[in-house]
Amino acid sequence: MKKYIIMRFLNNCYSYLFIFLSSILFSFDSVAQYSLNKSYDNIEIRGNITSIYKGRWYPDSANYTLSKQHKNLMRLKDARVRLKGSSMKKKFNYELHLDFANLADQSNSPELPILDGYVTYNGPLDITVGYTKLPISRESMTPIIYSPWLKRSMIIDEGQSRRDLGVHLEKGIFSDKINFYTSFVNGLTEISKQQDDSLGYELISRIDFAYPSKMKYRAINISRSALPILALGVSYRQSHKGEFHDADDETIWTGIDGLKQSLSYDFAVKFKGISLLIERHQINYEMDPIFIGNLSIPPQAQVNYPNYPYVRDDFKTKGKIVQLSYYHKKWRSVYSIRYDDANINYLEKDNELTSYDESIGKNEKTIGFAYNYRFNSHLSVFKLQLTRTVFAGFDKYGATLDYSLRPKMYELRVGFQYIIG
Amino acid sequence: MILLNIILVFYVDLLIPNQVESSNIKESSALCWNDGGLYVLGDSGQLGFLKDGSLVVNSFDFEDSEGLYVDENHIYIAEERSRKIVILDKNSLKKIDEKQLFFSGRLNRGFEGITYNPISNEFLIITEENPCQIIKTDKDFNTLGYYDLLISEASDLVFFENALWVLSDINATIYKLNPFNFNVENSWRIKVVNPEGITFSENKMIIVSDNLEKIYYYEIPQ
Repeated sequence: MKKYIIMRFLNNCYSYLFIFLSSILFSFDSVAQYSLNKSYDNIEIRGNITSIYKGRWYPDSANYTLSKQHKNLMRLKDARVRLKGSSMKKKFNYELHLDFANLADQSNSPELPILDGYVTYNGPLDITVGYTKLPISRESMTPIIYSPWLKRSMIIDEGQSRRDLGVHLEKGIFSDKINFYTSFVNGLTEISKQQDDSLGYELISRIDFAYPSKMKYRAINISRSALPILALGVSYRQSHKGEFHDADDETIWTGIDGLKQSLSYDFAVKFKGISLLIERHQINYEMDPIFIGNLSIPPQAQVNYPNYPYVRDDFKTKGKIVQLSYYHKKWRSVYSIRYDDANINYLEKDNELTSYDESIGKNEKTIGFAYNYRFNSHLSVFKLQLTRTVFAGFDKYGATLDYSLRPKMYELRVGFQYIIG
Repeated sequence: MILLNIILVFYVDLLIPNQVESSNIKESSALCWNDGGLYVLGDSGQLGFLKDGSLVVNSFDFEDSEGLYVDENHIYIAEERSRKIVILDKNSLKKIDEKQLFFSGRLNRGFEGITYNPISNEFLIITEENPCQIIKTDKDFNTLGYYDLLISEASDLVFFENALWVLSDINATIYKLNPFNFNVENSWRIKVVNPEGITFSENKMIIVSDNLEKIYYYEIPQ
């Protein structure tokens, strides 16, 4: 209830902010101002509005299709405003990026409206302090407005925390052909808390290499590169917490009571309008023995706890993405196909401590096609995507769900993306 | 005329360079042929002068320097984000003036090139995209007008032989424009990754690639 009241209050604040920003945008004799300059102190206003229709059906089960019909809705996917600027000849730059669509959710738990809020000092090393994207993979670091898809692949979208608050370092060498990233963040599900009683922080590092020139984080080869450009990236993240965050069987856990380690590889090629992306993700969860922090139980009392300290099963999550896109300039069209799978929170077959096999854990495989029509060069785009998903596996906790009982799902998403500025 | 322009924008021939060399300037973003040598400007403030195989490089504190024009006495630098034209004395390389022009497009889609039309005695500054415009000013940088181009994106421009030549990075194309009404008269494709600067010597057309930091020499297209 408290959270609901706070969000309602914030809602009002953001309404005033929205009016304020609109007044800047459409002031000055009704000529839209997208950027303002005060010598070397610059600011620009951007944003995007994306509305979509989402429909799902299950050809093998009319009952399932009927029972899920209420989820076939038109949605305001993005209503974003972004203030971005720099000062002192780009010694500092900053960004405040808000999504009002997140506030349109009138439930008790609306999503946070902040997508980015940071300041960067650009020196020999770029040092960013604040809330922004984490360098976990090429797919994750590519803004969705530069992707032919309306929804990201499962291994990225199903619960991975992609933004966080902390210190972020970045260094590019050889004209940004090689880039190093490191983020030291809270590793929490919320932007800020009164206190964090869940122990440690989270460290994320990434290195990527491109040849013969740097490669931006874009999913479409709009410039139709005359030469093939290759990029290879490796990301690693680690946290050691004292409690679970987002410990839902169907999503990737933000943090666990133990050690969480993630390793991702990505490879991309761009050439003559063709873009290929291949990614592989592996996340290991090493649970701490239960009663950690309560080691004062005297040995004689431990007879009451025959399995003390109780060792819990170690879990894993893995997934991959293969995405091939082609930009047909004359037809202003982008065609993309994508295969992705995710095996979320599964036990390894050779786990000696359990009798479970690898079918435990949610397993999803999706194949999809996307089409874009680009009305202009500044990303006013009609987007369509059609996907087919099959489910397998079952969970160990809670309801003991057998995911293989879920019929295969077809999903259609159709939307229009408009960029302000 | 509009239909002819649309056809010319899409119908293009491919040009092949007959010489390629390294620019040795980080993020090379603009070129200007003057005094029998080649001035090369880098995005982060390096300004080089390449003549008879030797390169002299000076570093400046510009902010996103993207456009370059050199005349008898001065060097003019167009800064993309600040919308400023920084004027240097050609001999001492000291800054002698700066002019700020109005342009309200995105900060990273600002000024990409600057040149001078000696027939009308006007400076011409081109913006990258959304909108891709030419800003016309007098000799003292008083704005005379803003002109939308049919070209979707531009990375540099240069006045040469009574024509205006516009380079497009995204389209990897060179457009030849009427210097007064800015209609496209001809166009040619190039196979260069991220071409950012264009100029002409007496008998060559010269292009520089930003990402690859290479200079490409072509026969002047007819």
